[in-house]
Formats: sequence, C-alpha cells, structure tokens
Amino acid sequence: MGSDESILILERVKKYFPLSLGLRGKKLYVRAVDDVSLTIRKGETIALVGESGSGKTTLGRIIAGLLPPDEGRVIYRGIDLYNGNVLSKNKELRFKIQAIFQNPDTSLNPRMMIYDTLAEAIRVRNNGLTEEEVAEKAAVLLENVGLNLDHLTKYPHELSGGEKQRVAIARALAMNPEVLIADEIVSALDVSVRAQVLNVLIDVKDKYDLTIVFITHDMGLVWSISDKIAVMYLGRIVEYGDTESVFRRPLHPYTRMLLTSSPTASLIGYYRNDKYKARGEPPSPVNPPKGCRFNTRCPIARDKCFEEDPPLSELAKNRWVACHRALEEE
Amino acid sequence: MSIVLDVRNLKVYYELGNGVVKAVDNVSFQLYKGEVLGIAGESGSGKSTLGQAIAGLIRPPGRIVGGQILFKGKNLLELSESEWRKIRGKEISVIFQDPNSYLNPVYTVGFQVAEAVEAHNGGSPKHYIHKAIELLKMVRIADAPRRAVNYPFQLSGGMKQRVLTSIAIANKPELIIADEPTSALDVTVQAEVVELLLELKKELGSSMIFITHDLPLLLEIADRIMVMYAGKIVELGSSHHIRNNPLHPYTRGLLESVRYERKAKLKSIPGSIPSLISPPPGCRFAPRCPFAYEKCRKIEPPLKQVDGRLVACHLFNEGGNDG
Repeated sequence: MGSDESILILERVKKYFPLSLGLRGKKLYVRAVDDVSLTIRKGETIALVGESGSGKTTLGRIIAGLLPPDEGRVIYRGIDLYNGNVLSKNKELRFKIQAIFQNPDTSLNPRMMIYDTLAEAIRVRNNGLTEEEVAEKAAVLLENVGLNLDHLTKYPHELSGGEKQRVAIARALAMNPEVLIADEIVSALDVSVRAQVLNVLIDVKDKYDLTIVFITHDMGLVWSISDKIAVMYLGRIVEYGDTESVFRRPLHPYTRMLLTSSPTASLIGYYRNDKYKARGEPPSPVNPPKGCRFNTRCPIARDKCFEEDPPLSELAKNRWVACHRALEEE
Repeated sequence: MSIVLDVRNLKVYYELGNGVVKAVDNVSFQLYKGEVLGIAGESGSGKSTLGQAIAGLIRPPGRIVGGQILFKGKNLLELSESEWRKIRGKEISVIFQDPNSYLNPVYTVGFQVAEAVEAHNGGSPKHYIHKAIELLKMVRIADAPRRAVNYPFQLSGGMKQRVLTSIAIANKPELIIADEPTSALDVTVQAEVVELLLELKKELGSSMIFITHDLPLLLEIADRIMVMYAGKIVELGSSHHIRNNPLHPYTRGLLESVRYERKAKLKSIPGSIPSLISPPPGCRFAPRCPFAYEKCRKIEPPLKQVDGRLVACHLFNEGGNDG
C-alpha cells in the first residue's frame, strides 16, 4: 500500500518528437507526452494505462531516466532527475530507479551467461566485492525471482520467455532500486506463464520495499496489481485515482469505454455500459483535435468539449478527471 | 443443425532437422452452420496450424499426415491447388492477425478489394471498383470512395484490418476462419472490429472459426469453445459451460489465470508448454497438472462426453460429472 510520502513528482512534463516531414516548411511534432503532472507515493503500485499513442511508454522512459523531457521536471526525493537535457550525474539516483521492458530478448545480452549478466550489475552497484560475494548475491537474486542455481550457467536462448523476464527483474533488483518501472513486462508471454511473472513482481515488491510504475494496456492486470491508476489518452492523463474507486465508478468517458471494451474487465464483472461501446479510432497525436482530445469518440461530448480543453481537476475526493461533463452524464 | 465442416482425426506434422513436430495430433470436431467456434490455446497449442490446414495453407516443412477435412461433405485434403483456388476466398475465407503482410503495399486498397471480387467472377478488377467501395462501406470505413484510392500505409491498423475483412467477405463465404484477427489492435479498436465481424457473419449467414489466445474475448463472442493444448483438444463445450464450469484442469488453470482478483496472488499454471517433438507420454498436460496420477502419465486420455461437453481427462468418467 502507498504511504503519504511522495517519492517521485512530475511537473508539467512535455515530450514532443519532431517529424522529419514538414508541410510547407512547417515543423510537425508528435505530442507524445503533453503536459503531465503526477505524484507517485512511496510503496504504491501505480498503473499507467492507455492504448498505442497514449504516451504511456514515453512517460515511463522519462521517469526511468532514459529520455529527457522537453519541458517540465521529474523530481525524485527532492532532486531533479534531469539537468535540462541531460540525466543527472548523481549515480545513486540512477541506481534507485530501474526499468524492465516488454521484450527480454532485446534487453538481455544473448552472448552473456545469466551469471555474468547479474554479476556485471552487482559489480556496478557495489565496488570491490570479492568473487564469492558477487556469486552469493547473484544466487540470492535468482532465488528471489523464483529461479535456481542451474540457471546461472545458462544463456538467454536456453530460457523460456517467462524465465528471461525473471532474469530481467533480478538484474534490476541488483541495483537495489526504490522505484521499478515495468513496461508491458508480461504482454508477450502466454497467459499461463504471465501469472508466474506477476507473482514474482508482487513478491519482490514486498521484499525490496519497491514503488512500482506498472505500464499496461490490460485492464484486468490493472485491477489485480495496482493501488492507483492513471489513464492516458493522446499524451494526457485523463483520469487518476484509486484503482478500486475508478473501476467501480469510472468518471472519464474514455475510462468507461476502455472498461466496456475490455474482455478481461468484463470477466471480472465490474463496469460495463453499452452507451460507451467503442467507436472510432484515436486521432493522430501530431494534430490532436481542438478542445477535448477525446471529443471525436466521446458519446457525451457537447459544445464546450469542442472548444475548451478540460483541465485535470479533482471532481470527487481523490478523483482527478479531465472532462467537462463527467458528472453530468453517466 | 447442419454440419458445415467435419474434421476427422487430423494430423499435421512439421518435419524439422531435429525431429517431427506434431503440431496437430489427431484432432476431430464439427462446425455447425451459423455458429462461431472459438479455438483457444497458447503458443504451440496447434491452433493456428489447424486453421491453416482447414484453409489449405499448410506448406513444407508442414505436412498433413492423416485424417480428413470434410467441407459440405467434400474432403478438402483431396483437392489440387487449382481446385483450392476456386474455393479459397470464395467459399472459405481467412483473416489473419497482421494486415501488413497480407495487403500489397504498392496497390490501393480499393484495387485489392476489387481484385478479390474479380478472382472469382472473372473480368478485370476495374469492373469491380464500385463493388469494392460498397464492400468498404460494409466494413464501415468512413468516406469509402476516398479511402479506396489510399495505399495501405495511409490507413491505421484498425482500418487495414477492416480492409482485409472486406476482402474476406467479398464473395460471401460460407466459412470464415479468423486467426487472431484483432490481437494486434488496441482493445477499443478490437471491440469494434469484433462486433463488425460478428454482424457480417450473421448478415451473410456464414459460420466462423475464431482462433485466439484470448480466452476472455472468446467467452464473449463464441457459441462453443475448443481448448487446445500441445496439439490436442482438451475440452470442447459451449461458452457457457467453459465460463461457468470448466472441467479440464488446463481449461480451469487458463481461466483462473485471467480471472483477476483484486490484490491477490494470481493463480498460475506451473511449468511451461512441453516440446512437441517429444511430448510427454500419457496426458500431455500431466507434468503441469495438480491432479495428475499414475494413469495420467501412462495412458493418453481420450475425448469423452462429460456433462454436456467433450473432455480429455482421466479425472472424469463418460457421461457423469466426475470420477
């Protein structure tokens, strides 16, 4: 569960990617993350949810220290993660935030034995350890992610997808991090294996006292794992709140649409409202619609929604929503 | 109900350098007219190979080793490639996951839809451009006349999948095989495309085989669901039965691992999918099954009628509830 202690604060973060193609010399940008503010508290698991083009992965990379924002600040325990365009030189800071990605085949070195992959990380984190101490730490890491010593002498190609993802978790843990960004880490795995990896994540969260940013498109996973949810649409957070409260009574029409469309969510039997059956496709993040960005697909959009961009505001206690009409129509 | 497709003892093997992969191993089932049969399974279950076999698309090193596929009484396995060309795209259509690999990047989508009509009606694609626009309208592509002159790269993923769908339905097929048609799409887009597929199926009076790893999706759309594991059918029953009272331990495990509970450890199936080159003796699921006993490791369980559906598991006795 989360505490009140904020550990990561995002202040008006923006990231635009320039497109090489400009019409009549006009520069075009993909507005991947467009003015996002968010506070993440110690010990909580926050789910960043959205579909392709929502900016969730870009935001995850910014939080992980892998991508400097164009504007805004990312503050970890009072320290700026970036100095302008460059990642802070503070090494401790870099260790404390770790990321795991969807595809372990691209994040693990295929030519390194699992032991060497872990040992390298352990040595980076701890100077001057003896070989025995490194080996001991590697063994503990593997045990904590549910693998055994036999795996140490294997190469990535000898492991299954689930095992590889566990190694990726173990390597992140070698840094003794406080925050773990998990970007679609089970999306490529078969469902029966998916649960194993998520259970490992739940275990190590307790053991290492982690704060987790869990990026996913699967509402079922959000329900099962997260304390807080931030729903993103076209570079913006459109709804933020306690997961339980958002699932019971989603306020933003897009959240309602996501829950209505998602088979895993309807299997759990939470929210479903045919008024919010999916329609249309997300517009291009290069040229988002005027007014509310969701207005092209929203079943309850009215005049104001086509004129004014609704700010993220606290519509009910601890419930933040960017919608002019969320409370008027359900 | 009349039977559209009758698959009997089908075996499809891949002959690889290091052994024979028994991707589909002695599979039998029937498809009824007008129904949506969902085939659920994880990677390596054989579900896609099965779909390809029904569409006559197995290519070396794959080989159909035995069995029959009777489509309206005719054995598809005896057809020559030229006979197949008359059936595929007309009586049997296929929709795959990745529209990018099935749409030609250098032709407009309208032309490609027209070509699909021309293939079975003769003449030239040019004659069918109005028909193509009509088909694009049928799959609810907004502004179809303008879209018809677009190239695939100008369309979104959801729209490309609609174009493929319009090609698949161009000749009013009796059987539509959809292999993970929406797995690459976002869930809101998926919801719309799936709804469209079901409506078109109904309109045309076709039958559909919907292949996917997404069991929750099948529970919503399929009349019956066939669960495959390591090349075999483990359970085949109505969506209602599978959702509310799955019998096979694998079906149960699969369902439990997606029936997410709040802040609770997820139920998982231990271990991983076995090698299809040397599958375990007896029941292929036995090494991962919490209920497996001596017999399961020795004797392969046959599919038997239990409680209104078919199950391949020694835990159950024919006809009864459990054993």
